[in-house]
Amino acid sequence: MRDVSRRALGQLEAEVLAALAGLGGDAGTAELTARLDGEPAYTTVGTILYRLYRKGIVTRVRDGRQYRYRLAVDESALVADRMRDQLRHASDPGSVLSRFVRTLTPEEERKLRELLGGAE
Amino acid sequence: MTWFTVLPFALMAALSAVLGRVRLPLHPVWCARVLATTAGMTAVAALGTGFFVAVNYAATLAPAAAARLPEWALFGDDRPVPDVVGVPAVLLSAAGLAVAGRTAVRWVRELRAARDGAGRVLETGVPMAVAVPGRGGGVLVSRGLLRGLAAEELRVVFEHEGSHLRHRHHRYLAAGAVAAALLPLRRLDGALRLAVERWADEDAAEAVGDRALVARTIAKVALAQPAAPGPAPGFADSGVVRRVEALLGAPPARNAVAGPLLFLGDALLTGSLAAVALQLDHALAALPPVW
Repeated sequence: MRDVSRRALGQLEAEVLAALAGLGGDAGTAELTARLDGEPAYTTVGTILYRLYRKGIVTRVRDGRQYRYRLAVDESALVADRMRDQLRHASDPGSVLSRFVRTLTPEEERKLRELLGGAE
Repeated sequence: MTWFTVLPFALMAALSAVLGRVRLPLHPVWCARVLATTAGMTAVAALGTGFFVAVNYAATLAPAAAARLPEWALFGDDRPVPDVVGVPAVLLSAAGLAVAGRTAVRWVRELRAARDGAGRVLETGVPMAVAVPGRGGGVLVSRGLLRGLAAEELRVVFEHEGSHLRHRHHRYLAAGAVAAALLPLRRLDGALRLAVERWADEDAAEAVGDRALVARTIAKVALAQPAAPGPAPGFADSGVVRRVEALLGAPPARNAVAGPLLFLGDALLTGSLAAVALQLDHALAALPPVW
């Protein structure tokens, strides 16, 4: 179990990825640090970026004395497509994978919008 | 064999059917535990009962071979098992084993596909997050999720999926899936799935300290899902509305007493019924005394 939590994509890693995705193109460590909540240390973000780079989730190019990072585009789009198909069934009865949410029925969508309308 | 042979299984099937229809007034943690135990034990009893009737039917057909069977595997009364009971029992047991096997193969395939992807970002604009259990697992997220959610919303998703992994929720889902594959217990499986999601939601709400934020995140991700292809699956209640409703309300009571009591009671009841269905008492009596 401990093993899983160590290997799982960490919270800060996900935030760095989200920031990188939000910027659209490539970004340097300082830019990313500025976009993150809670102002993590520059070196922390650098370490995370290096880890993501080692995992092949981001790519980097040298720009002067620094690196600029961008999200790695998966070349094996075919593989990803097949997996997406598999995962589409992840919420079907009989699966052991639990997806965060399942696809809504039109009726549920209407109710959900109503609920949110009431909350705001 | 008598009617008592199928009684334990019949009682458990009835209990499972009832639990799938009522909403247990318990914290999702206890709800999930009770439902998973019931589902798992009912599946065991179904296979066990089918197996015993099938063995005894075989003994009726071939009395010579039956003499080699251990005493506990046979019903005590030497009365033959009629074809009307025996043939369906053999067929249903074989079908049950095949279904259980196919379900297991499917899990392995799914897990392998998901593990291949864990640690990479899913190349899709649809916001998705999947908890992949086991070694080499983790949280699988899509590019759409990373792009569409703010940092604190992302934290909700990770806390939710982390709860699934920490509490090994895939085992609960496996119990429900096997029960639903063997018997018409889709409602029980659905109730169990909802309870497990609610459990993870409550864990996430506690971790981020904001129930409304969790509710909003779930709704946001749910509304961003593309419509299901093909005809609308009218029967499939995704449970999202009930999850959001529950999070917008007050936190559920912990059930520090009622929860464990009900769970223990249910485990004892279903466990002993399953043991009776497997004729464990006979099997134990047949063992040589160790003292």
